[in-house]
Amino acid sequence: MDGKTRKGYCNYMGNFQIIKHTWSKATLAGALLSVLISSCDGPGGGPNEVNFDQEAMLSHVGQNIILPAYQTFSSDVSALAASLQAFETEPSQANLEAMQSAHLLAWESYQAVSPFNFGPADANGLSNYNIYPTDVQQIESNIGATSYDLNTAENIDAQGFPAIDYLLHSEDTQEATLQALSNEARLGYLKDVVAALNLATSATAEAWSATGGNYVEQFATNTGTDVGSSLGMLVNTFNQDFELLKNGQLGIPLGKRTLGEALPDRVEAYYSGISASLAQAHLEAIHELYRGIGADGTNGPSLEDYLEAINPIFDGETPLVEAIATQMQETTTALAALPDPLSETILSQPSLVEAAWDEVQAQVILFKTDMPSALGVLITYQDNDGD
Amino acid sequence: MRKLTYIILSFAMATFLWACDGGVEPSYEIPETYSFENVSYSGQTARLNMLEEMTTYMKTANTAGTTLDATTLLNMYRNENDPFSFTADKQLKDKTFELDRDLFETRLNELARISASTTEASNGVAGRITSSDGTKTYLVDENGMELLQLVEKGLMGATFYYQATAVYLSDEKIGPAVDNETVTAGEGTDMEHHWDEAFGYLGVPTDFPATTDGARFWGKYSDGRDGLLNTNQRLMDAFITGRAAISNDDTETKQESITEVRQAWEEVAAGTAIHYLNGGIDNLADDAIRNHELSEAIAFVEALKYNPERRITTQQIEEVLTLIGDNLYEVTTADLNAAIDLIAGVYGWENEKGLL
Repeated sequence: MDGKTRKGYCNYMGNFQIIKHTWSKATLAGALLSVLISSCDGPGGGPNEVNFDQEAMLSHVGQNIILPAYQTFSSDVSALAASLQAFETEPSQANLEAMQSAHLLAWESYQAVSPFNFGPADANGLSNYNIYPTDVQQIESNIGATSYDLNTAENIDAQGFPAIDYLLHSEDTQEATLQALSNEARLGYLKDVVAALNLATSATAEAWSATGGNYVEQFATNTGTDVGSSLGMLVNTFNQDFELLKNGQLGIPLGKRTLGEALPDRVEAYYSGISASLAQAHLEAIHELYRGIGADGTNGPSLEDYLEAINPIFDGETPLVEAIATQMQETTTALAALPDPLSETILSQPSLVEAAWDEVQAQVILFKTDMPSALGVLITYQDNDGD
Repeated sequence: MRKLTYIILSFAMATFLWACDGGVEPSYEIPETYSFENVSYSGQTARLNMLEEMTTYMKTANTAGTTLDATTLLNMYRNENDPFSFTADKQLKDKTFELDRDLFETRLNELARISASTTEASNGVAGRITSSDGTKTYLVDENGMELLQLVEKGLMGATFYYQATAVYLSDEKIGPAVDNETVTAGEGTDMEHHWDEAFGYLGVPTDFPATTDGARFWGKYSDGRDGLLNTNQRLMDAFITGRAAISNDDTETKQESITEVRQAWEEVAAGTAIHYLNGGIDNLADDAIRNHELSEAIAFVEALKYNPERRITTQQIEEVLTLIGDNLYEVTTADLNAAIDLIAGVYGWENEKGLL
């Protein structure tokens, strides 16, 4: 909490205006009571005091959501590497198509691990493998160079899924792609890029696994709500990732940062054109994480259950969990209405994309302000550039 | 005992409800000057300082024989290789409206190129041009454009005005998803800090307009138009009220203040554009002064587009720019008047347009 305090925290007497004016009178008594009880009722007070087994939740999320997500992702990336090897041995159109599908499948699996950008993923820089738009000029210059170092800063946006997207999907015909990849340097670059992705992916999966780095256990036992606790990290990266959906997958291409001027080529997966379906997979993964739905479909203790145990009221009358559930439904529907390729939908039906963005934004508010505040978790990441 | 607690709570609630339900009089203090706890906008001040030094450097080339170095100009724009008399980890470029960053680098390269000219400027020839009374000399390109103005006033628009009105006053920075509870020492909450950063781009002292000394960039131009548009007090009131509203979680007043800041600031830009268009008409026969005034006008018209609540449309902005044209030696009074009429019509300045 370096230099950070809560405005009016435990100092509410005589300072009532800190409570949001938007709350209705009916709930103010309850709200004030819960403020008194939850935050200021003696040492150690806080939302943790509700009857909820945090460790059981972290264990379930780790074992049944995060681990399988990394296993699937890692095996899909391995399959991509294998398909590349097969293509190298026999550069046929069938093998090219197998490689292209393997790439798209692995990219979709990536959406499910995208919210866990802490611990192992952070240590392996996994999020660097999905920086878009990819730097085509840099890719071409690397291909033309005698040597390059993918670890340097200038090459971060010249590799990963978006770079592979360019290398495998940017030509008009499969013949042209085959022709392009018959260039040894080009194929060599693709191999290096896939190998780097594969390495980071397997290292991250390994670090989580019980038989490897066993981060899954550390994750389950690092309880509490402080900065650095598992819940603290999860809620932060969960939100940061959800904002990536809002800004990267929708807002920036839609022109939200450029006074409404659309930038359709900024979408994720511009060349293969699966941007909307990636965003939909991403949203689903975030929702299942929130609901505690494991890879095998079983429901376990979750952020939603945690919130239900605390039971904060939103907007005067609705329990926050209900408000979030309703909003999740709206967001899912709006996002599902977006056809691919998203880069074309942005130009042909901007209002559809605008509507999806609005729903995502409404959900950001619930996830980023209401949820952390109820859980007693501090949002510590900066979405601005710190000035 | 439990009952007593309840009664005390009820009393506290009643006090609270009474305090909040008034609606007319805010239940918190709004100071006279921009004086709040935990205010910081040093990053904005640093960028204002950068543009000031850049402008000083660019102006040296108004003297024939002084050539500007393109690399130095780009270094200043990007804050690379320590180009300033001070150090700061900020830069102008990454805060410029993204789609116009290349445009400004092009202008800087162009400025360096024409600064090497050894001939006097005229229609089709870049170089220095001196006013008929011999007091003013400017460096202009082949079309009479004074690139220094298109850079300096241009960045006031594409960076300062854009960041303040479109970025820092947006939902993204001060909307409902932004933290207004966690106080960082010296900076306040995220929401407070973002508001302060918008204020920082105005370039005025905290007791503006009681004190106008030290007002620069937009602050200076607001003061220039203040007699007719009353923008000084309106901008200050809106910034001070909005900051107080944020610190007291008064969303409605915050929202009103956002609109007021955007509108008053827009009027500074639009009013200044008209001011320089008038200057162009008044000095039509003096190539140097006319080119200079109209280059300023173009930059202020261009700035108008960055405000998300602007009253002028992008089509109208384009029309005005088309009326001024891209060769300042070939403008006509009729076109310049039409440009003024168009802007004045948007803001209802029939009476003020000739006086601005």
